[in-house]
Amino acid sequence: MGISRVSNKLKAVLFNSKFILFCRIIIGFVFIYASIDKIANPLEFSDTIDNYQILPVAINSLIALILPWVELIIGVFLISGIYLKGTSILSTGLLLMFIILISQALYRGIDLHCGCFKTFVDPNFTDLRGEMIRRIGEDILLVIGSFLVSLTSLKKENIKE
Amino acid sequence: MIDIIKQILFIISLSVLLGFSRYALLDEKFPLIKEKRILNTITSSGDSTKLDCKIPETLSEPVLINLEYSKCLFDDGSALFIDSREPEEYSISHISTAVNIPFDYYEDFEFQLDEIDFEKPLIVYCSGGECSLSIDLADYLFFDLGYFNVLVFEGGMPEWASAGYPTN
Repeated sequence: MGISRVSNKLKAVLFNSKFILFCRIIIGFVFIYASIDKIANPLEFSDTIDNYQILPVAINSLIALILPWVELIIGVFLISGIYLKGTSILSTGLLLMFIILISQALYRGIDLHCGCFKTFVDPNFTDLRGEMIRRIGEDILLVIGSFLVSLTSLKKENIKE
Repeated sequence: MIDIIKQILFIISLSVLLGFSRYALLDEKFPLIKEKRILNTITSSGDSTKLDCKIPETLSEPVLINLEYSKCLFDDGSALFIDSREPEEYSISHISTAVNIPFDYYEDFEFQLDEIDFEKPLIVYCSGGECSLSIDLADYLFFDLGYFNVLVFEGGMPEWASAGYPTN
């Protein structure tokens, strides 16, 4: 009885429309902020993708050209509520992909600047592994938020139908 | 479900369109399909006690060398080893006598080459395998800075360390 009451309360908080709006705005701004420097410097971002040593080098320039725009559109759409179902599913997928990419690099002992927000790297900054772990932590929080937004938008759709 | 797929496809298509528009506006274009640089390889006899690691007179581009060749030049003492990895990785372990010039920000580290003669063999290495930092840095040293004898030790730090050769 007690557990179900706590779980109901938790559900009420997590699926509260204000909390979902808060998640959308935070995740939206993070995506927009992350995209700007990459859109301005696609070549540098392409070099950053090379450093992950996971994708064929041939396609990295194309990804560097397109991915930042996906991030920007996701950010704008999440904040403005346009195409919320598709946008939130895409943002959840992208965040999961970022977590996997950074984790695999960490596991393989590749220390890198993740290029998550800035393509410029500070040569005096050397705590790369610490930064990678922090980024994974941030992405886990964002992916939870994004997942809640997806669930809510899908639920609304089901109710409408 | 079809709605969701349509929305995702719309976002991706719009991103492709905007991405290519951005590319059209770039002052300095870069190849859309990156080609992996394939370099020629020069090898020693495999016996590092015989000093037969002579470098060809004129190189038209950086060349790859194997572990034995690198060790031969290391023992010879005539070459400068350059570690192109991040400073953090360099500080953990690097080939003895190697200097660190991370490719990602070589401008801040290339002062270490100020006193180095343009004829001196430079051996660039990184983490081996798929790591392309050494080839990228070697290209920069050869084509942009004008060093004549730029060699890439493809096996890099992992191969050197597993052979038990000197590291710091």
